[in-house]
Amino acid sequence: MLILAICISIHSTAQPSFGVHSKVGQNRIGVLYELGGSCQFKNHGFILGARFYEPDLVFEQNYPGLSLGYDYSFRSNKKMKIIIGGTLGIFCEKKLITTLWLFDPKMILGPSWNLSDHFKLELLAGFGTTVNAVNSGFYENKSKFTYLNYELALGLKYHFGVNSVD
Amino acid sequence: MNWRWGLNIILGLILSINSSCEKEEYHVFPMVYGHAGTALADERAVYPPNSEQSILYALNALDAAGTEVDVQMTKDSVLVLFHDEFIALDQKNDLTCIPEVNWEDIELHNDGKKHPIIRLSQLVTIMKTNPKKVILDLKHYNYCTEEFVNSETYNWALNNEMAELEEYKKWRFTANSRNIDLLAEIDCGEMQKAFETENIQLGIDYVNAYELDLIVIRLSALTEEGAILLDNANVDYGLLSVKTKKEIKATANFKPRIIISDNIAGTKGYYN
Repeated sequence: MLILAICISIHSTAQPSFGVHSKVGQNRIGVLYELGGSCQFKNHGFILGARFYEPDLVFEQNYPGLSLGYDYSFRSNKKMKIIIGGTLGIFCEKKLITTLWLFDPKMILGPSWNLSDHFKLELLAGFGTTVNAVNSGFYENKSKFTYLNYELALGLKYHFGVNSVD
Repeated sequence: MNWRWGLNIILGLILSINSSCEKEEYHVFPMVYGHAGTALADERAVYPPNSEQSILYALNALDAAGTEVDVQMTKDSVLVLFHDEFIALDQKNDLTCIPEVNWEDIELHNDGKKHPIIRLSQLVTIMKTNPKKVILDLKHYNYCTEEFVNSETYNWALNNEMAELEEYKKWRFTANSRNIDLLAEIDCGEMQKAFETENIQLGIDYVNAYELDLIVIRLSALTEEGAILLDNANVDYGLLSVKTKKEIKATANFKPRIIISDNIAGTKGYYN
């Protein structure tokens, strides 16, 4: 994703705008909180952050996981855009005798409002699958569980510079 | 609007995360079992209750100490894992009961289903290579005829389904029922027995009279006085119907040996 961002940047004369983002929402895993950095380049947005679930139905120790994301904005007007993209959450937790890896790839879609030159508010619906890969201490048992996941999240982005397309 | 806005929001979120990470006071760790596999409650279930995937998810992905499953007997004395009193087997959605149909009918119903109803013997096969524990909630009532199922036949069927399992592994299974006559009839080697009740004194009496291993009680039915009675009688007990964070916290007011939870991760996380 970072490589993609660099490739897009070097093939254009426009400057990317960096910022921070936060997100709260809910999906089948639990209530999510996310914090991280974001990079906006023309209509392309990239995020790299830490995601945390509490309360949730999977994690016992509640360490944050990694969240990666890309979105593309369809510019309808200056105040509001529609964004479409994808996110991937990656978590690892060592339980008593098993190690759980959780991957949470999702498609996202929703409106994004420009609150000011720097702030954007997003309401995102997500749909994808959750993959729980388990390595159990018993009999070197490895198993994988896959189920559908759906998410609704409210995000806030702050950009340090003014985006060139806004 | 300036950058301080953003900073305040981020700090607020960090503080809220930090406060939710605070450890609770120390408690003795009871064994956490999944309810009907992983969870019976719709909002907690990842897979359908009592399905093979739900059981495996609880035991492997969530690392539960064991799982509780609901067991019903078909007309031809096959034990299947199913919770509800009624089931719609045909396309007309006419409701019937498990004790009213044969295993063959259920196999037809299962055809093409992603999460079919499984036999107890299929669970036994899984547990041959998994050292965790299972509570079998033996459903003893036919809601279609409004009669109790035959206890002798139930015991025969249970032994038949468990036949594949080595004798020394049967202690990891517990037969749980609200019907003491059925429990008294159950004779399956080293298999443990539990009586489910809301009447603490009756439970204690039955534990002593029928040499049961524990009592299973709904959390909402257990009072401080009831817990004192159980402690004084030195009777082990398990708690059922634990789902919300508040209910998980409430279990710490007692000393259960096991907790049958609809939120395995939350319950384990609390006691860890």
